[in-house]
Amino acid sequence: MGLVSSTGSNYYTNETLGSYQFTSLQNVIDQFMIAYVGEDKIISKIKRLDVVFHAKRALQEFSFDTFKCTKAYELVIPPTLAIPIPQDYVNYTKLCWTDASGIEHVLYPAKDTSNPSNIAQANTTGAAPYYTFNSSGDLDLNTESDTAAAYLGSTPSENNNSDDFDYDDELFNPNVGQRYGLNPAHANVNGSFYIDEIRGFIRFSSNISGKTVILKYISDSLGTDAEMQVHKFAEEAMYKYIAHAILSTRANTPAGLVARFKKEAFAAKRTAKLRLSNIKLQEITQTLRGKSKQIKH
Amino acid sequence: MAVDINKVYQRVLTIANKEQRGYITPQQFNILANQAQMDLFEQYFYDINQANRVTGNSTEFSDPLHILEEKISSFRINETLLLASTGKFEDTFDLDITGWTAVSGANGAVTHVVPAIGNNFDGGIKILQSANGAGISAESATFVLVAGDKYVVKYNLIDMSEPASYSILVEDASSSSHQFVVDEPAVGSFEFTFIADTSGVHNIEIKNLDTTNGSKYITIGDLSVTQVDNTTLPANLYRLGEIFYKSPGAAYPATVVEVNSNEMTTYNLSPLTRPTTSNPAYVRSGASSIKIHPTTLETGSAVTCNYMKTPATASWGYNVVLGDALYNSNTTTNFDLHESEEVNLVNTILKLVGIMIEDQSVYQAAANEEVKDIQQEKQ
Repeated sequence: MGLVSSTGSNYYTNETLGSYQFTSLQNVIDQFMIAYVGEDKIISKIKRLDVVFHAKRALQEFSFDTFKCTKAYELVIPPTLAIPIPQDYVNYTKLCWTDASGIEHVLYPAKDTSNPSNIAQANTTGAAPYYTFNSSGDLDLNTESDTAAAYLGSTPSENNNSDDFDYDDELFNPNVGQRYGLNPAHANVNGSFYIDEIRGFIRFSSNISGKTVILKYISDSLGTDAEMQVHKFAEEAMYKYIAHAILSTRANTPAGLVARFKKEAFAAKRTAKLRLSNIKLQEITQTLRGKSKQIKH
Repeated sequence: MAVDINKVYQRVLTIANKEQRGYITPQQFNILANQAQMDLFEQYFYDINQANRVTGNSTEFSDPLHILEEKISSFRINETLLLASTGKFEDTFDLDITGWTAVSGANGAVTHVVPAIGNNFDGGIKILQSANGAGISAESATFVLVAGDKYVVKYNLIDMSEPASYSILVEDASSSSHQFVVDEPAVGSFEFTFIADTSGVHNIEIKNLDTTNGSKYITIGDLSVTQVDNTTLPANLYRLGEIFYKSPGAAYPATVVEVNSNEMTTYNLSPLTRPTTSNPAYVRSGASSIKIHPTTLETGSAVTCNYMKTPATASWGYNVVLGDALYNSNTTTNFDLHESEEVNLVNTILKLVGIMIEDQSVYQAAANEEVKDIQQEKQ
């Protein structure tokens, strides 16, 4: 009856360590077919491929907002200040560079720049012909936009520190009223980045060049068979999600049944999130021990 | 477990009152017998459906569903490989052993065993080891295999004086072989599968590996090499059950789901629903064939099926002696149905006999019996 089938020596030498906390999507599908589909069950009959569809959709949805983010790349930013977006990238959760102590410094997105397509203009007078075309009849595009080149070439304002200290006193000039009205979103010296969605690159500000950057991102967990797995904390939520998805897309299903499973799916997902948020009493206690400390400015 | 066809025939003749109403010839009986057998057999599936919808009971022998399941259990064939309809090589050894040559013939003899009552009219090839303390083998004529394709070798060991061991090899032109060694020989039917490494001519070698000079032998009744094409359904299939796909190294097979061909087109369009080796699907591409998706399966995987076989054609065998049909058990094929169907078979055949001889009373009596049985069984 026990689920651990291999010996200790086999686990520590041949198996993926820590794999017991997960159950494969295939198992979820098989077990759903056993427990939910059949005579006298909630779903009397359904094609397995339909269940596979809903199970994969469930895995996608759970990957976006319930499962822990486990995918991370570490790389050194090249002189081009751009790295390609990973193959299975859906969105990033954190971008940071690490210092010599291994401490992460968060990079924030530069929302006020981009890398638009740079159309080769035939002349600057504004008269026809406006643009040049290639042999296929499509618009000629320059390799990089002027905007992107300017962003990459400029020294970020936070690194322009030459006037910060005037030797008149011990204070940095920006600290004497010059930061009034500063937008906190831009108030850091860590650097910035923006995502060039069209070309599939993440571009960084020039002060990140040569630094080690960590990209933490989420996928939809459907990239490979090996990553199609569900944490056991979220297994029940998967069943409920699939059941609700099937019932709600079928004709002639009693509305009460659909509503019941909608509630159950919601509750199960919330339980899964709570479990996966990994809250430990001792850790909360430790955090709250600092509650009476004076907030430093 | 089968129903003795001779008993049924005698009862039908007796009830039909052969002396007065008319004699039912064996040919007529055989036709009616199979009509009755198929009628009862087909009805099982609808009865199971009906029994599923009513509350059963938990008694050991009287639950209707359990009774029906037991009746059809002898027709169930499980986990059968899907083999091509024509074999790459086949020999029943009934007529002779032409095409077979003895290897190391000085160590014994390779001879033909003629079909006879003693071997149930199943001829064979006998490989006897009796000299020089070394094995002897028989090598077949050649046949062509294709590299990467999977094949199954099936054979019947019908007789032996137990040798220490024997082996069956499938060899290519360079003598590279797939070998099936049996260290504890026993009489019976056996099979093994292999994937051909090379394309081209191959042959089979049956080796008696005994070295005692003790006149140990094996007799193979028939032997065949057939491609596992994962497409062709068994020839005796009546109803197809589940198809299974077992990945190499997997502990358990996955069920291959059946979809219509138009559904398959739709499923293939979506990356989320497209069949994979983890969740394969199949379409029926003909009465005796299927097509599994994905179309490229893993090397070393196995596709098997469960199915309900067609009942064997019942036949009351006879020889004509002095103008009379005399029962011959050797050429008889009994009914495949469960023993409990004996009375039902008699009644059903009698109904047909009543129609045939235009005797309303025979038909009516048999029909009444049938109605009474149905009422008892399905109340």
